[in-house]
Amino acid sequence: MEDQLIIDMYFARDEQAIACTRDKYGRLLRSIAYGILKSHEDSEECENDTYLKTWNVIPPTRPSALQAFLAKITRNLSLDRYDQMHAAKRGAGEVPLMIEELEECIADQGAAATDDETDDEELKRILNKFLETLPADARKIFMRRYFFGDSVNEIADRFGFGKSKVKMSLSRSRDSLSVLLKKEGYYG
Amino acid sequence: MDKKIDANRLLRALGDVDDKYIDESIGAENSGRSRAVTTSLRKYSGIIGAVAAALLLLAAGSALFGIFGSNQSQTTAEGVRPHSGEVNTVDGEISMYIDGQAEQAREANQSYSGVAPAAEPEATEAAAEAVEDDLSLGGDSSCSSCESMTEVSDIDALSEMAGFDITVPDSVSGSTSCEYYYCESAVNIAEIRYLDEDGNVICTVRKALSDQNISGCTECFSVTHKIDVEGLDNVSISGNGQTYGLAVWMQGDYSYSILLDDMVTEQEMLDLISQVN
Repeated sequence: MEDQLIIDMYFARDEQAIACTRDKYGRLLRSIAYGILKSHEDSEECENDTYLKTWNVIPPTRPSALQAFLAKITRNLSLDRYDQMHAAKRGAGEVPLMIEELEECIADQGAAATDDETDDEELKRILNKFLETLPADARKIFMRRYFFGDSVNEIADRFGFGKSKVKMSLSRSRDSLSVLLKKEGYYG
Repeated sequence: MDKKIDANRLLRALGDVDDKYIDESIGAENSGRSRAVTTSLRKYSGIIGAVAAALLLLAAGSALFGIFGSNQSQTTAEGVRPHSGEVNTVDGEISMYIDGQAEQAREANQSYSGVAPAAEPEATEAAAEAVEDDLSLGGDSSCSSCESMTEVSDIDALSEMAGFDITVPDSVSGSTSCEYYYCESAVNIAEIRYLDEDGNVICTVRKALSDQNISGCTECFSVTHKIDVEGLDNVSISGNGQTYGLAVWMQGDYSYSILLDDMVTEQEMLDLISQVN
């Protein structure tokens, strides 16, 4: 079923919209949640929370790309749930590793950096600019790692690359991001 | 002035990048895996065939000598069944009741590990039904679709994969290109997608050796009309009563469907139907 028809069903407050969303994207959404949470039960709850949130925001929101729209909601809900589960300490799974790796991208400036809230839109612009500059394969590997939370092994299997190639690609991408963030004045 | 940021913030911000980068990496997942599986199967088709033949001989011999119980000679096809959920709305809030926990567990296993669990003999009948429901062939789920599509190069390759001839229009109104897919499942479905200049699918045509509705969309439109078309059986078109976005019909042993992004008049739909065989 076409995404536009599903979105129209949300606008018409037709409950079948949720069934259609689940049929078309349920597996994808569960895999995104599982990449972060590593728990089938929590992943299914995040999937269902995604449908609820989608129902509540469409309308008025009319997503231009339903797949990415749902993926973002699931990812954010999964990270929220992850934070709740591991509020006091670093948990298991890929998230702490992802954070540790991303820390490499941020140069330490100590007290010189301001505590002002970073502008979300500006950060988004910088990240989009960074992704635009990456070769397609490197970009897909980077997104699989830091958007979907795939492990290096999973990425290597998915694309048929060696693990060393995936690690090297991620390392180079992080270096590029580090340079860009520094150039834009971002420090840790 | 320098701005402060931490890795957590960066991780969160990556969740808000342009949709195209998310779609691109999801697309890599779908097409890559499908192609990889197909390639592997072709690469080892000789070995698989030999093993299958040996197993068939073994099974036949076992049946003759009564070594195995009757259950074990059943088909072991395992399918993924969509949740048969019920959705209730109360004051604008949705509460979902999803039944079929065992099926969910099976689905979860397949989704996360990519490896289908071995079918249990007593579950084979349900599994066979699940395969059909997955394709929305008369099942409860109204908007299911085949989830294991393999893209092929052209209409000839599609015919070869599906095992039957397919005739479709070269283009439909607004289309600039076509893609060809074959669904490897209980029912072989050939699918032709017509795309506009932005790469959006604007029309999907399906054909399968089946007597069921193969459109993957059985309750997506408010109005469905049965119409008489010479030479075709059970022709129905669905839409809003004035324009139509779905047509399904039978001809001989085959089932057909056309699903449109932009709805058209009844006559325009009939013109499209006449070009498909």
